[in-house]
Amino acid sequence: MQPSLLFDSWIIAVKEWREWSALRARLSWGALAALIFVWSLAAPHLLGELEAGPLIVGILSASLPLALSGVMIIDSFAGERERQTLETLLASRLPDQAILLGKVIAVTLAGLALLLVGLLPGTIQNVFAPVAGSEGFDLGRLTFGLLVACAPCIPLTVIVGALIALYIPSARLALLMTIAFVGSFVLATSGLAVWWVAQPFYTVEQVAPLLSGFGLAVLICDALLLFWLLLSAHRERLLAIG
Amino acid sequence: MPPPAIVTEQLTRIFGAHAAVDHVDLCVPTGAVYGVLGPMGAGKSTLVRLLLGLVPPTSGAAWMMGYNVRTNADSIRARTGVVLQSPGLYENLSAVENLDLYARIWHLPAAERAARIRELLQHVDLWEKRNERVGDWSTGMKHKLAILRALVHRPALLILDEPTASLDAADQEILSDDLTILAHQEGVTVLVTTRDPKEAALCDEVAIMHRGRIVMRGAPQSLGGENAPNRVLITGRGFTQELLGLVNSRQDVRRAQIEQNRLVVEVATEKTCAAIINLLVESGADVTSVIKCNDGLETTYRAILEKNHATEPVV
Repeated sequence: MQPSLLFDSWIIAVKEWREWSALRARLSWGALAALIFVWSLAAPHLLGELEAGPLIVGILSASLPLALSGVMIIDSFAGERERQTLETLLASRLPDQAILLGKVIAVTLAGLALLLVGLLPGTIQNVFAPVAGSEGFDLGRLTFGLLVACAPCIPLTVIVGALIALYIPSARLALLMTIAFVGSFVLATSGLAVWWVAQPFYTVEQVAPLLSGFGLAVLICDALLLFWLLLSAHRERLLAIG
Repeated sequence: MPPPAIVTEQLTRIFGAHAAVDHVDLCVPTGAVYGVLGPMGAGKSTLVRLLLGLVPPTSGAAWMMGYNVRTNADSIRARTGVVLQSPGLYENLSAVENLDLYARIWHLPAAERAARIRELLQHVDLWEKRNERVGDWSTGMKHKLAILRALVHRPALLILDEPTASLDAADQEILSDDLTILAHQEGVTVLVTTRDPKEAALCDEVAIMHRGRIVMRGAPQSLGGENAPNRVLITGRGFTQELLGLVNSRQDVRRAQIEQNRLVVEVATEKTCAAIINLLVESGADVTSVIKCNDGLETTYRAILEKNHATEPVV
């Protein structure tokens, strides 16, 4: 990957963040971040005594950033098409790949930030002031596991969303398909986790390598899909002309 | 003499069974303001997209500043400023942020960026509003900013796709004047597409486009003077349908009709005018005033549209 491509992508990523943080959207973003923050602190209190608590915390903490990342990437393509800013951007000197990559970087980093906001406050609080009755609720290990397993899922959702937006010109259909992908993915991986934990050969020691293996597999998928995305980048397709 | 800025040879783009751009030949001289005049659906926007390499041609070829649009579209876009029908501005961002984004895209150094943005905004009296959200601006101001955005990197070629289409007449005039001044000051070649013959008349050369084809080209004066019929507006009394039929039956009359108590006659040459006045007077009409006018490009343009409309096959 050329340095100029990364530089150009970064310009687009910064543009995306500037748009999101523009005056009229600030309140919504602040409210959302506050909600996630409060959930992070409340989760150990609410679910600490449940046997399935860690799994529920994991699913909920991962679902929101994944769903939001999907929505944001669709909006960044379809929204720009609808606001008719994408064609002007495509008529500039920027390579197609830089525009795509910039949007993927912007949404991925925003999704990862949301994931951290949902995990870290509760973990830090529990390290310094453990919640009574949640001794079995090892938030440190849970957080590490979620980061290793969920962090690569954010770019996966973003890249799949970008591919959907690229091949389906209708914003509404692309959004529905991305949400359907995120829902199916979360349900499938949760089901797999429940099935694995229910096996007689399951031990707690197996969790870390299993999560690492899962994270690595998703990272490989990310790389392959990103390669496909960059190969698919074409102005005519981005503009949905034809 | 510098080579032409834009050359197209039999440039064609077909969507399904419809030829949006149909064997177009253009030659835009360097430094000229060149207009492509045509109605909605004539293929102007597709022509712009083809020239910018946003869509590939089905057949034919085009070169911009010596670069082939099929193989060197990146080099073309790097040297071109573009304003499309929609201003394409980020409405949540301010004017400075919008210009700064495109200045960064064109890798302008930080100091030059700030100076250039200030220079451009001051030129069109928008400097005071530089930090306002663009979404709150009027359509005319947005279009002005879009033109500044296209000029921010000092392009050699400026392409404007109906930049004034959504503006009212007053704003259109102001923007057209601003654009002409800016284009001449910056010394860029300008290709502008428009539906408005008055706007096209400001260009150095004009090509009239209809149904994907260039049907006429030349300097606006030559297009209007040589090809447009002269109109004679005759005011008076006694203009009956019988008399109208008589005037229409003359071979040197293209068309005659009664509009608001005036007889409007389109004549092939100015010489016909005297003969018609004689005919009217001899037939008993009372002629009080005669105004000869040549609407130039506008008349030519409308005549082309009407002629094509009349020959359109009924499906």
